[in-house]
Amino acid sequence: MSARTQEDLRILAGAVIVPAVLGLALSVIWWAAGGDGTFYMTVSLPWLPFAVGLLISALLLPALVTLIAMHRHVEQVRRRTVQEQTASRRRLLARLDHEIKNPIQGIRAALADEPSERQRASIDAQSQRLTSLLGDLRKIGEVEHTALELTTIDPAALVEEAVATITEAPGAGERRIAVSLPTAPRPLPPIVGDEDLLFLALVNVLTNAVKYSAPGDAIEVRGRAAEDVVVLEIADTGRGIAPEELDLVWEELGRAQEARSVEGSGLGLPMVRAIVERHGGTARLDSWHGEGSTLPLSLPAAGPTAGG
Amino acid sequence: MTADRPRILLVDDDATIREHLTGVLERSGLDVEPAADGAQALRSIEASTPDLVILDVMMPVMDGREALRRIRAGHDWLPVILLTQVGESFERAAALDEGADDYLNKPFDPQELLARIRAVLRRSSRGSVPLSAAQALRAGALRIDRPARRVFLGDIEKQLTPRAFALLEFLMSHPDEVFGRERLLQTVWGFDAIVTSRAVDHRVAEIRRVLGEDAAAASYVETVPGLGYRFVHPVERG
Repeated sequence: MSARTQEDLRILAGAVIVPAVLGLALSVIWWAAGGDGTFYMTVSLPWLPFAVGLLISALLLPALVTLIAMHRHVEQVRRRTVQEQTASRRRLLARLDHEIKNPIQGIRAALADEPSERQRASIDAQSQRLTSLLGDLRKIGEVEHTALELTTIDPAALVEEAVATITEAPGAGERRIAVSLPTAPRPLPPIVGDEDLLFLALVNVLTNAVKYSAPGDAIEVRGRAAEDVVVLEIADTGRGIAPEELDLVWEELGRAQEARSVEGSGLGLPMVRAIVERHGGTARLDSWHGEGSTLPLSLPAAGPTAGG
Repeated sequence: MTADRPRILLVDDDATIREHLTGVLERSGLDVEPAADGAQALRSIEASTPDLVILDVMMPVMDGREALRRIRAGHDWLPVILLTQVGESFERAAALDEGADDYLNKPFDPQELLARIRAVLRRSSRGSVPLSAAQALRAGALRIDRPARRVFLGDIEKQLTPRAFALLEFLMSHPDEVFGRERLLQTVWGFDAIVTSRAVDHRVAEIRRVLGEDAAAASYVETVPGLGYRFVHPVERG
């Protein structure tokens, strides 16, 4: 948002300054080339206000043109955002429809079947599926709305604990997990944030790295500090994501085609992004299909600012 | 133990839920009186006081929260379990703040509801005054002021982070009961997606540090190996 405002300001400043600078340059060249002559403008006194008005209008013209262009631009961006939101909402509804349809179908099919233990077991299993779907949706809501409890956190300790936790996950023992955080000349600066939520985000990303890789694959946790931002980056040599599906993983319930064979809710990364953005940071995913992925989480060391 | 079956007032506006939960609870040895909204529930309580109320939050006529406030105004000790809707973390906080003895998120496993009912009944059958609706709690030198979210040890005020306070408050208002880390996460944090109970352990460590306790000989929050945590000191309203 602030980046766009800055850009708009620059355009406006350009519109005001460029004619003056251009005029000055022409004058200097003309004068240097020995240009001579005098221009007198006479105007009868009663018409002086009109002439001054005309002059001011001419001066304001570029600003007006720029304003109109800016307005159009903003309108365009707004319309595109609305379009994107509508499309993303439609996709979410379609996915929800899909996720709910199947368990309900299972229940109705089981009910139509003869009464038996198997029938009861099916109904139970399908209602569990619906329950866990609701639970996952609820988690996102909670992460987005729960009050942040801010403390000063040592990123190295946080990473160490998250890695220790993930080491106990099934399959983690067969991955080569390496942590490389800077120690010289100085370690990562402390960050202000909600420790429980940031831990949740880190563990989620690490869980993905384990889930979408094979035994023998490498997982690396890297850290670096840049200006006022601490970047924690989780990289793996797992299966990666096809470029056309890269945006999908950030959408609720969105799952890449290939990921459907692995158990998961499709809510992990949206939750990670929600946590990081609540801290005023950004989460990105770079992936090379078949080679692996890198997921840098950038967190402002000062924590979420009052406005964000 | 009396020969009487405990009487439960089940308040939910959904007829299917009323019908089938009534069946499950009655088969488990409870007498169930159904009510469809808060107003009906209050009338039923006036006519004859049950041993426990199960109260849905979202209901027409009078919602569960309003009903709970009115029950608390007249019956300080009547145990109430709130059934909250999915999501809305404020409902959880509000449920505990307004003096519900426990709450359960819909959809829940009926067996889980039964377990909670039994725990609450056990608590109230001990004859002690329930602590759920008390504004302040005292355990020896430790005193917490619930509405103000303040902790005192003797005359000295101590500082706890909000989640550590909520954890202490929950454990303290259920003295002598063991709670697993999962259950504490759901109750105090709300986001139980955390794959580890580390968050709970950290806050317990904070509480002990602030209260100057030794984990090996805790006089307030005790670790129950393999199970979770328990508030061991006797607690009174204060």
